[in-house]
Amino acid sequence: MSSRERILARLRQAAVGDSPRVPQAVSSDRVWPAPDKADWLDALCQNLRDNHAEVLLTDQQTWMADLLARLQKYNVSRLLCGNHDTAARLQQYIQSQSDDIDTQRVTTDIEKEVIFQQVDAGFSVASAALAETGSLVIETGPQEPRTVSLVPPLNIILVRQSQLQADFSAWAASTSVPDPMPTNLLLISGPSKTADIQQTLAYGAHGPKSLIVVMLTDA
Amino acid sequence: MTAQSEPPHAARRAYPSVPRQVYLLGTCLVDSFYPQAGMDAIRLLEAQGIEVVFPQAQTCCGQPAWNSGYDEEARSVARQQLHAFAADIPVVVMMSSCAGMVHKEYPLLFRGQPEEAQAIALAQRTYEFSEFLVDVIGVETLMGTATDAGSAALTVALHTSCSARRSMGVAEQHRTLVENLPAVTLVEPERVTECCGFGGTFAVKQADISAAMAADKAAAVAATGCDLLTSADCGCLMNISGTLSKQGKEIPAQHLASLLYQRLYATEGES
Amino acid sequence: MAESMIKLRDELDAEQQDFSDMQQQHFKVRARMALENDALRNSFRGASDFLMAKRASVFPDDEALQALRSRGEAIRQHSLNHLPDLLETLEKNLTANGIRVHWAETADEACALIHGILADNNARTVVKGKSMVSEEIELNHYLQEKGIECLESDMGEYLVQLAGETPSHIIMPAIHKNKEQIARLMHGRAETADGQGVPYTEDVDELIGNARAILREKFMNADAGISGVNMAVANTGTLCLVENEGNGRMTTTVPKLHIAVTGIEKVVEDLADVPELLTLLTRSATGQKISTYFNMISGPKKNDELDGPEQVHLVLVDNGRSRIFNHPVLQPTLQCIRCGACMNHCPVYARVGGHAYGSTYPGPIGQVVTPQIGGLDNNGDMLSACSLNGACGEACPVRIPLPALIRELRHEANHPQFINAADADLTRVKQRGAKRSLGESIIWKGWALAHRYPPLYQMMSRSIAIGRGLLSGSLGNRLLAPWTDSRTAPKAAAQSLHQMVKKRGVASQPGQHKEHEQ
Ligand code: SF4
Repeated sequence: MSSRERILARLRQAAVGDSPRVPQAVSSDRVWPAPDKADWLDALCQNLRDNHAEVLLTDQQTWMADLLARLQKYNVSRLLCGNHDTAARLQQYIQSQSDDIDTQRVTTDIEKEVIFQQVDAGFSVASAALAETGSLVIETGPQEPRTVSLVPPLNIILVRQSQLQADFSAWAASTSVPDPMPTNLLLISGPSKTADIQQTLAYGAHGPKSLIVVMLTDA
Repeated sequence: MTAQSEPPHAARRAYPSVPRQVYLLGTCLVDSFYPQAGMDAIRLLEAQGIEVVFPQAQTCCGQPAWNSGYDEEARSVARQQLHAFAADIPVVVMMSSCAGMVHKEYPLLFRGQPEEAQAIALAQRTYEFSEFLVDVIGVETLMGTATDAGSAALTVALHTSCSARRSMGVAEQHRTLVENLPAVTLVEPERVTECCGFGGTFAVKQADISAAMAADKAAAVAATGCDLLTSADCGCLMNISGTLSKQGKEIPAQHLASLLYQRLYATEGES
Repeated sequence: MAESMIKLRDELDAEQQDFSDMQQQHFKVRARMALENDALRNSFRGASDFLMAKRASVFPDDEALQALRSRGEAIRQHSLNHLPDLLETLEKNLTANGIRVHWAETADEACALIHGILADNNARTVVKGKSMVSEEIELNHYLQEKGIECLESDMGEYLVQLAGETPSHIIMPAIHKNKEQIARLMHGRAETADGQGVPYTEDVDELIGNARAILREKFMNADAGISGVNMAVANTGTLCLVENEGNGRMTTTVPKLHIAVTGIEKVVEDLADVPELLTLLTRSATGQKISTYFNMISGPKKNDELDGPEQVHLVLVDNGRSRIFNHPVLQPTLQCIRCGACMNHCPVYARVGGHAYGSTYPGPIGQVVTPQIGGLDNNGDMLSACSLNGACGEACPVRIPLPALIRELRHEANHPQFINAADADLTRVKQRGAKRSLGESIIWKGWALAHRYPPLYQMMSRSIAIGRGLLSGSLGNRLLAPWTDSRTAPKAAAQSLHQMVKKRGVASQPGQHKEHEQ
């Protein structure tokens, strides 16, 4: 018998239900309150700000200009983007407005030295946002590499108001859940942080030191 | 109360109307170290028109052995209590930890034993002292029977034992009783929900840790500036007041029953 | 080297020696050493107060909290009720997703398996995300002996490894160290890739910045990453990791090879089970609504993807869990989601800290898990370090009745029938009865006798009253020393309640009439 078979045999040998506890059926009723739909945007922004993220409330027309201003403030000279249409438009816009920011879309395997040592900021697009926790859902894949939202010191994530959901439970029960699951699905709720030294919060533990959320409102 | 507490006990238990007769389970610590509290409890209950029965055959609920993992020994002693409190009348227990033993643990202790049904029945008619006063008799009724309303001002620090708070869920009842006493100001020590370090055999088996916990609790009690320390658990009282007095801080300590009786009826002058 | 640096390094070496000496001591000695260490006590007291307040702040509504805890309990119990089936489903779906699954019965087998995977891939340098199971199986030690460098990357774990110690908390590994101690440690021992030291600083941002620079270099160059798993979702074949720092993502994303290691109990059935467990976990652990990152891994890099590991492996570790699973009372041990709330709320842990327990898992859950995994003989002593105050059980997000489990383990430890480790009866704890002492069992037998017979009991309580003077004598002093070293001796009353009641004529039986008062 293999270890696998021995472990499974021991588990099957147990008299489940013999224990004094009562096995309970797991219902799908909501037990934790979620914010009202009218409050989703506010809740999302507030939670993100509480977690040290910067939220750019903007819209379809002006977001690229707004973001460019932020990039200049952060002194970004090299921006790495996923390989999607939104990034293509951003790249075009930045190139037309500024010579100081080298904007690239990843199309080939990412070189570690480049992303670790030369890129200042990464631009990703979220597939959903969760109001109750202030979280952005990133589905990685060929268009959205995993390291773009992880390695550069400045992490930028774009999300649309129409993609807002109440919370993770609502998302998990919705049709937004990709099937099959992407190889890496992420919830991101702020910049990287740690409190491992005497419970003192410090940002930029290993990943991004800052997170800018570009929130495209419906208006 | 913090957000971490269990749901209020009253929400989980149904209470009977005021009975004609109750048993008093004195507990072994009250028996040897705080018998006056037992007498005060009896008079308090009698003042409500309730006849108190005190079985001379009662000894100890068995908790020390049970908590130490000596189940057989605990069971043999608990069996004696099943006999002593056999009649179908409510049992009022002087200490929360013993009340918790009977109310919560007896059904486990006797699981699969011939006396299981008897143990469950006893558990169901067992009430902690303050719980009985608040949820069965009612605070207003209780205060209404008071004969001594003109007492001098007194600041009382309440230590709610862990068994009162978590096993029996009656921390609120303790507070309510003290708060409603005329001329009494209730104060709670810092980190009020934290264990005082008694824990029965824990105090002996891990004396160093227990002493450290007791020292912190004693300091917190002293810092309230209270005139008196009260609790419905004598183990905690002995632990905290013993530590206080070793530190040279003499703060009188009373079981809640004595405080209540003396503040409400003392002028009757009964011995 | 500057003289001050030589001195600092000597001091750090001496502290490390003290630590390993301390770990050789008996539980009581370790506890006493911790109690006498003011800096340590301040660290733990401060951390406990902080974490308890943080947790309370994210559970403002008690009713919602209780409902959520019940849901968490139900989810975990449901998972356990179907554990073997769920593990098979998990294996099937992970395999379909391209994640290779391995099973290990023991710690040694798990280490050997992991080493085998590393060796097959010629991996010489490893970065590790936080994994308590890897601590449990002592993986670092094993790999080191095989010549593989294994660097902890969680900030707390990194500091603890740098100090040559072990974590003192399952969520905050370096909770026992204060800023100054960490500043000395980093200055004395941390080295960048090109062999440079780091300047002395007590500024937390700078300290983290220095560690960040060192560790990012390591992430970039590591051959493999080893991580833990917080939940494994059977239906989708997904491994979930909860973290704030990003080291977990680095570990599972940057190196070519990712090996995840977890206990067999961590499986849940469906994605729908995840959100509530996640919110319970982060709120209970650190008082966060959610962690910065929730990382769900369902496969290695696909051909058209531009980054990510080429291989992902999962090592499922039993190491005693299937025995726990068979115990009729102790099975809820496996409900644990490793949030650490029980230790944050434990007044004993707050006083002695994590190292006193001498085990991978400290605090209440440690007292429950450790003797079951490692056997009662070597790990039974910590069971007495609990006042059964119930704070842990009240905080546990999945309602594990921790005090009842500790009590049950005391029962197993003192059981009259000894069984040894090799015993085939899986429904019993390893080395049941190992802690039974003749003296103690005689005391309890005598105690039971005295309390079984009311006349005997009354005689005894009367003699306590009569002998109350004697207790203050020298014999009494010695008997009562554990109590009286820090407290005055309790004074027995002159008359017991039994006697006073009798005198007053209180009825002893219902229906008896009360006699007249004297
Ligand atoms: S036993 Fe409960 S409180 Fe303790 S770590 Fe596990 S889940 Fe958290």
